[in-house]
Amino acid sequence: MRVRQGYRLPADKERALGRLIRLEWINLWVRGSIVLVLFLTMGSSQAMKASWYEDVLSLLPPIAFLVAMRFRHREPDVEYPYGYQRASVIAFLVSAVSLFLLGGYLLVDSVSKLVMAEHPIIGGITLFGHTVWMGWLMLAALIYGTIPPLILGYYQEKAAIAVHDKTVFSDAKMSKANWLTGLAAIAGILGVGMGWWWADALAGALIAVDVTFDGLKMLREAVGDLMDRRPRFTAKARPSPLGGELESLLRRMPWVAAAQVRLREEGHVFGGEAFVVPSSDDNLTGNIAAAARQLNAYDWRIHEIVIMPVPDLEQSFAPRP
Amino acid sequence: MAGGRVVTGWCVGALAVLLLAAGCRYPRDVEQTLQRVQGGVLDVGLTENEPWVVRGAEPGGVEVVLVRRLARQLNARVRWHWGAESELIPALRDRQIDLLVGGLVESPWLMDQVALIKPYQESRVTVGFAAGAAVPPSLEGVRVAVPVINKVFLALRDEGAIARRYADRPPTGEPLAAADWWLRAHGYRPGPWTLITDKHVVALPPGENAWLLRVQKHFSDAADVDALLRAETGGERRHEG
Repeated sequence: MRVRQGYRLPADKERALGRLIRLEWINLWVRGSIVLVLFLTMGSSQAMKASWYEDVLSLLPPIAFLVAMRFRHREPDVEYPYGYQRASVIAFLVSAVSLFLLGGYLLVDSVSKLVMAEHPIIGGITLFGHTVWMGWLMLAALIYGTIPPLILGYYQEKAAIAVHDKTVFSDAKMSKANWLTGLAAIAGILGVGMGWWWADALAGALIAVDVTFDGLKMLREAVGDLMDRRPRFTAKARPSPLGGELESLLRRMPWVAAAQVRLREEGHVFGGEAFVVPSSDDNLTGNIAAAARQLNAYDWRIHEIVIMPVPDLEQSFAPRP
Repeated sequence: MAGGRVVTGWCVGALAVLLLAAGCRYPRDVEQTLQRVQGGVLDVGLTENEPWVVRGAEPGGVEVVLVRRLARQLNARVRWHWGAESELIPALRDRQIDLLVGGLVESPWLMDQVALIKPYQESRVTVGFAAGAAVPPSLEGVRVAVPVINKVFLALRDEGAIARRYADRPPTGEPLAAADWWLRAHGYRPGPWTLITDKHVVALPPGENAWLLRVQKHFSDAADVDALLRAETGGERRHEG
C-alpha cells in the first residue's frame, strides 16, 4: 500500500497557526467564563436560558479546533492512507448538528412559553446586605457575554483566513453576528422590568431562530466539505479559481497538449487529480514527476495532486456497462 | 456607514428606555400587585406549619409576624385565607392571593409552580443529645428517634444511624433528629452533622417582580428571625407542659 506523505505547513503559515491556536485558547477561556457568569445569573428567564445555551455551544468550535490541532502532526498511516485532516471537518459537522438541534429545541420552548403566557420571574438577590433586582446582574452578565466575543471575533476572522481554517472562521463570523442576540436578550430583560411578560420569551425565540440559522449555515458548509464539493476560499462564498489556475499552468508546459483538474477540500488542505494529454510520450514519467512537484508547490494549501496521463480528455475509465 | 448609524440608534434607544425606567418604578409588576396592595388589601394564603404559621383564633407564628409587619409598612389591611397547599398554589398562580406562607422550603417542584423569594432563613436538621449525654464522634450504630413523618430517614441511614420512629411525643433522654433551633429550645445539644438543610421561603404569583423584590427585601432584612423562632418554640413548650 502507498501511504500519502505527511502535510507540512510553510514556516510563515506555521507561525500564523501558532497565533491562531493561542487565540483559540484565549477564546475558550473567555467563553467558559461567560458560560459561568450567565449560569450564575440565569434565574428563570427564557432569554437568559437561550443565551446561555448559545454560549455553551459556542465552546464546541474552539474545542473541536484545539482537539484537531493535537492530531495535525499525525502522519498518514496504513489504516488511514489519506491522512487525518478530515477529523476537523467531522468536528465541524458535529457542532453544526448540535447548534441546529438546540436552536430548534429553544424555539419550541420559547414559543410554548409565549403561547402559555407564562410570566417570567426575576426577583432580587441579597449581596453584602443589600437586596438588588437580579435583572441588573443579568444585564451586566449579558453585556459581558456580548462585547468580548465581538472583539475576539474580529481577530479570529483575520487569523483564520491566514491559515484557511473553516471551524474558526465560521465561529468568528458567529461571534461577530451574536451582538444582535445579546441585544435581544438585553431588550428582553429590560422589557420584563417594564412589566411586559412577553418580552422575555420573545427575546428567547429570536435568539433561538438565530441559533438555528447559524447551525443551518454551518451544516451546509460541513456537508459540502464531506461531499467533496469544489473548494472555496475560507473568506469567500465563491468557489476558488485554483482549479482553473492549475489547468492553465499545465497547458503552458511544452509536453502537455490538454489538461483538466478536479480538486476537493480535505479539512485545511486541497487534494485532487489532474488528467493530462501528452503531446509526446518522450520522457513521460520524468515530465509527470516534474509537473506534479510544480503543481504541489503552486499553493500552500495543496497537499497532493496526482497526475494521470490520458490519450484524450473524453476517455472514461469506468467499467463498460 | 449605515450599519454604524443603526447601532448608534439602538444604543440611544436603549438609553432612552433606561432613563424612562429610572424615572418611574423599576422593575414593574405584570399585574401591578405592589401598587394595588399599597394602601389596599393584602390577601395572604396560610397553611398550618408550626412554628412558622400557627393556627388559632388569630393566626400566629414567625412568618405571620413578619407578614403583619410588612402590611403595616405598606399601609395595607391583611385578609387571611387558610387552606391546603394544593388549593393555595393554584390560587396563587391565578393571583387570587398575593402571598403564601406556611413554613415553605425551597424545592425545584415549588420553583416550577410559583415565584419564591430567596431563602431568608436556613434550618440545619441534625441529631441532638439530651443535656448531660455525650455527643459521639460518629452516628454509626446510634439509635436516633425520629417522628413517623420525616425527611431525614435516608440521610440518617447514610450516616449509619438506626432510625426509631415515635408516634406522639419524643422519648425523653434519647438522641433525636430535628432542626437545630428546635433542639436548642428543648434543651438538646445539636451534633455537628447536617442531615438536611431546609431553606425557608414564601411564595408569590409568578411575574409580579416588583412585589417579589419588595417582599424579599422585607424578609431578608428581618434581623430577628432567630429571636422570633425562640419565642415561638418556647411557646410550644409551654403548650406541652
